[in-house]
Amino acid sequence: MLNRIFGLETEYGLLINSDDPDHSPSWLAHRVIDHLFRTQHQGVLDQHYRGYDEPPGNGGFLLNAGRLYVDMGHVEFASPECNTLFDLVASDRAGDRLIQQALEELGLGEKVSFIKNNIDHGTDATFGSHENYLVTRRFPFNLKGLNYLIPFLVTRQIFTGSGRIGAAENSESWIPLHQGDSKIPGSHDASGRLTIPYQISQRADHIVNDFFEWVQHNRSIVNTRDEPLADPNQYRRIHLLLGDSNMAETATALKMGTTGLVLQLIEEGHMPTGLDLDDPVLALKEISRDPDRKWIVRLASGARASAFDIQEQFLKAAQKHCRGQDEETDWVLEEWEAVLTDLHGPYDKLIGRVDWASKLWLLESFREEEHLTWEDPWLRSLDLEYHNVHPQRGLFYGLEEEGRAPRLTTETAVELAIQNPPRNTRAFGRGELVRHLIGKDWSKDPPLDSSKDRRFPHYVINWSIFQLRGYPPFPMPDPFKTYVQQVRSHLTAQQNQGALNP
Amino acid sequence: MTMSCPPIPNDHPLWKPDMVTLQRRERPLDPLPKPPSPTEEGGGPRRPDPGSPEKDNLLKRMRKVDPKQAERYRQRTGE
Repeated sequence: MLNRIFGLETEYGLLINSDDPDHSPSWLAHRVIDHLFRTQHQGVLDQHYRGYDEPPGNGGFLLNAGRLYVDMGHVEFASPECNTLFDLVASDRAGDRLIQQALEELGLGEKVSFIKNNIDHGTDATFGSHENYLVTRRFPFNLKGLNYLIPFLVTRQIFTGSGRIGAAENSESWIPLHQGDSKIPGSHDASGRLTIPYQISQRADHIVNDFFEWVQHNRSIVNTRDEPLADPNQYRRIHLLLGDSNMAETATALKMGTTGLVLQLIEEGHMPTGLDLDDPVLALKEISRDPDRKWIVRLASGARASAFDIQEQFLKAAQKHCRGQDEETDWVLEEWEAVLTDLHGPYDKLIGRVDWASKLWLLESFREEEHLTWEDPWLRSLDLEYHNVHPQRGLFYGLEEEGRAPRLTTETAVELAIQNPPRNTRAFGRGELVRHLIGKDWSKDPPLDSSKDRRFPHYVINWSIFQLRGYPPFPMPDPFKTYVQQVRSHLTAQQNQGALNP
Repeated sequence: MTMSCPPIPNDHPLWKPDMVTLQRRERPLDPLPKPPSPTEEGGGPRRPDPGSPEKDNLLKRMRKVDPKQAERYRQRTGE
């Protein structure tokens, strides 16, 4: 898509289908990482400390130039930099496949499941799906500029939400926003627990701020951390953590594609105005929990508008200013319009394209068949199973198998994306590096200069730079460049020098 | 698809004089190997028929799910 680099980071939940106390999710997460890197050689493990909770061996870069690691007890896959939605969706699925394959190879396929969701119904824990959009440094990354993004992000959940049974209390917020506020839809049972039969977003309950820079507490609609992972003089990375993990390929592509276009509208000064929300955090929850799906919110002007109205304003602006710029943009515009149109009708028209609607249809069908109430624990188990990445078990994949969910990718493309990076971004060069390092004979590494730091590892790889021991750092500051020829030359020079130092 | 960066209009409401204009430059030299289209693989992207989706196989899949598995799903909070 025009001028955009996309990335997705997914934290997976880990369900253990037994009561074996020896197998904690964290222990299994490390076992999967060890298997993929040390046994299957799908990438190279970090040899340096990336952070206080990311010691050497905690994870690393993959052959596809994405990252796989353990983050706060969760296996997390960060896609490589993608310039097209097709590559992004394929990469996203490749991450699912890679970790599922690891479970099968470890003989754990029946015992353990990776769940690509964002909540734990029992504890109200949440874990994320983070979106990354590269924008130019001139993007108006200030309150005024980002405010244009807020109404779009708050209302896009009507087609990006993954849906969930029940609700979470905001136990994590430092400032207990709206506590006891009767404006938020939902009621409390006799034990004081919030009860909501079903809502369209998994993360809405966990977003308590409009802007904030942290990602583990006080989660916000727009994360304001300035960490471009690229040349900071040229780029910013818009990092969003309010979205749900999607199973439907259409939902993933629409989430990233529509957001990319809205960022472009802001960059170019074509964003619709007059849509500021009175209380964005409240509106996020109101929309998610609205049982009638009217999705009415209050604007800062005092007027009321529906999520449809707001989305249609953004759609019209994008149609006017972005249509025709490339094939993917036109696909996004067509699907965006189709989904908004279909959302006006019965929700089952969205099956296979919108996750909350697909899941709701499955749960309603099952509930009717088995005469269950919304409080029945079986439904919460089915809610999880919708996100199981096991193709023969996951409920979403059941829809796909029945031909109910349109594919944007193919199995061949997903298989390719497991071990191959996109060839039109910086990922290509990094993939070459990883491939080289996997087969490297470290005994031929240059001898260490005793006057220098002996602890320097054989390699250090980060998103925008790498360094091999004994060689100068190799910066890769522009994600739009592949660097592939330069990386090959760098590695060849190193190999030649190694040959001179047997 | 072109990669030239669209100019910011001078009357852009958010324009700042110190903003640096930028030309993106590189396009792929050799694009990702083109996989077969979904149609070639058989079937291809299909919109679901919302009227009467066949439920039997899906209900069967759902009945296999352990009703209590959500109680065993205990996750740490992440990011």
